[in-house]
Amino acid sequence: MNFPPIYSFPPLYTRQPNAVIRNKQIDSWIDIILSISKQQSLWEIDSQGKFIQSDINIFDNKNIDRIVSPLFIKEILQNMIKNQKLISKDDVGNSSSYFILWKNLDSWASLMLEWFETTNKLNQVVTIYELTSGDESIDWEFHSMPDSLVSKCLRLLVKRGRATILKDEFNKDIAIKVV
Amino acid sequence: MECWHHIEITASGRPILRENEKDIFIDYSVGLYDGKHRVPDKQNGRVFLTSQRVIYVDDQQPIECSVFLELDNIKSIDFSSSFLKRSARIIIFLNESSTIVNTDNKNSKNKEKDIVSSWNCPICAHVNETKGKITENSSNDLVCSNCGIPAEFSTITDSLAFKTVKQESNANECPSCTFINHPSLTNCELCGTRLIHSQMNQTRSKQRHHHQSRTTASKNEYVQLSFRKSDGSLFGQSLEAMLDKLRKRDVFNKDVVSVNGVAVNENEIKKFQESFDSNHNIEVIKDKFNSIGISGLERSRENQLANNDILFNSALSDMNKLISLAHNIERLYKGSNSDTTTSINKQQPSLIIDRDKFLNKDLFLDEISRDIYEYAIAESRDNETNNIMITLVDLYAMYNKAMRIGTGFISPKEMREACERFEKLGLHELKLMKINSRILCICSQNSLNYVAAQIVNIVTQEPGSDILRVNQRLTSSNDGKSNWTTGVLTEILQYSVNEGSLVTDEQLTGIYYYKNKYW
Repeated sequence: MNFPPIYSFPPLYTRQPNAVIRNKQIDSWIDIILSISKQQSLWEIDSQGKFIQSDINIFDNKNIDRIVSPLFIKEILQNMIKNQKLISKDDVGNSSSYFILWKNLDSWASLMLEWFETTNKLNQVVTIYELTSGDESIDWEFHSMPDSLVSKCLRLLVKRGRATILKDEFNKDIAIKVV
Repeated sequence: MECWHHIEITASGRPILRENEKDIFIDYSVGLYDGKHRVPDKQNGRVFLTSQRVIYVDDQQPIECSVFLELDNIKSIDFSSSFLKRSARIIIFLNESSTIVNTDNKNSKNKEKDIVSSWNCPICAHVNETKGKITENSSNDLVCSNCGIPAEFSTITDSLAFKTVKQESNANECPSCTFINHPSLTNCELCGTRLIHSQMNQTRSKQRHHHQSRTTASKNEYVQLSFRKSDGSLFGQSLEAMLDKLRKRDVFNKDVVSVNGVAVNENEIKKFQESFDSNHNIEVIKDKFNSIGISGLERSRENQLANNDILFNSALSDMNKLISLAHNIERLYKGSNSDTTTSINKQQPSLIIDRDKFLNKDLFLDEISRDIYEYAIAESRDNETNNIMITLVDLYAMYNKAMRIGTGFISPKEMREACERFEKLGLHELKLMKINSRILCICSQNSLNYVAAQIVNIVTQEPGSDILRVNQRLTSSNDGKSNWTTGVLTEILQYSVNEGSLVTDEQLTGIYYYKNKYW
């Protein structure tokens, strides 16, 4: 894991009393979280600030023996939600875990469209499994993206009028056809 | 203008007093007149009445234009009240050649005293020496200093011998403690009493004499104090009282009304009564027929009133004595106390600010303001960088502990109001500052930024310093002297954090500070 130097700066782990400084501090945290999740292809985080697919606890720095207080973690996460770096896993918005968006949904949708174009998959039905876990997407950033997050991106493509979503019997998105 | 001498003034615009000198009264907005003419540059200032001098401190240029007048040079004073646009004035008539006359008198008086008679005690044969010439008439109170037995004149006539002791004319002897001072000193080196034999005093009055003869126009030399705001009567009264006191100073037990319960000036009272009675006796003889009836009642009433008057007078003067004794005790207490609490101002007698001396609260606050200013500067003058910073709470405690107010303490509110006046009074070195919008501090102009910069510097060198470490570093960089209380440091750290130059790392063990290098 590649942490920026600020990660070993002890004041980072204390909620700064000065509001201006605190906003910058929270921005630093957001940058760290996004860059780590990008490096590690981590997609989900729970409301306690733990990544779901990995046991990395980013808010606990064992090297300098510093830990961020749960209240401050909550504040950071709230800020990320506000900045649309996190979105709630279900559509209602009250779940206890979030998708991490180190790219926003629009960029993901465009990236997928690019994939369809470069791999000549236009006008044919592609399963979501193929899109995120297939061999053809292994070098792409959205490889290993969770299904429900993919659905959110694809829905944007549908909105643009470029795609049609096919559902299985449980009303779950299963395949897509991009035109 | 020769009678006015230049006086040294402290930075806060207060006069430096001599030893044993006490201030008595202060008046404001006073202008000086020499004879009938205004003295330029000295038209708006404060006038201090002390036990030795009248001191004028100019408001605009306190250092250059402040002067004093010796009380000894004052012959008499007169008072003219305000009339239409003319403000109230005290006219001070000066003693043109007081010192010369005095010394001449002294010399002639001393001539008799210079003779010392020596005689042998008939009982123990001890050789006694008595000042003055012993004659048969004056030998009543001859008591041997060795055996204490009074001697009869007839028994000592054989051994009686006279000799004259030559007095050193040049000696500048102090009249109260007999220390022989350098001839050019005007005040005794030890006790601060004004020296009569001083060359300076003599020559000065001589000079004035010469000056007088040259400018015969102003024969009656006098100066005037013009009171622009107050009516000056209080000042006049206290000045008069002071002059009275000075005149009586030489006579021992002069003011004593009773010693061990026996009235000293009983005779005077009696005399007064007698004269009073005799006056009335004549009247009584005159209208003997009216002694009964209404006029008789009136007279007995008058007598009663006169008696009451006498009784009251003696009671009041007794009371005055008591009060002055109480003052003495208080001063004694203060003197012994100040040795332990404030060693700094030991050399100079400080002006004692007494609430009673001030006409109104405003003037009192003005004066405390100057005093606090002076005190704060004196307290931290060891600091080479002259950066003073002290919380108002600390200063309040220190100031009241130093007992600089005549009686009692000042209240926190008065303290704050006084500190808010610095600017108005032209005291620019210190100011009242609110740090972190909650703590009031007295600090010199750029001390906050100075200390803040120093602290940031220390924290940069040693990231993760807590307040103790910062204090240690500050102290060691300042030759082991720390002028910063923890309270002040806490506030400055807080200030730096609020400014964004420092960031905190809060742990269970304490708060550690880092320089803000990322945000």
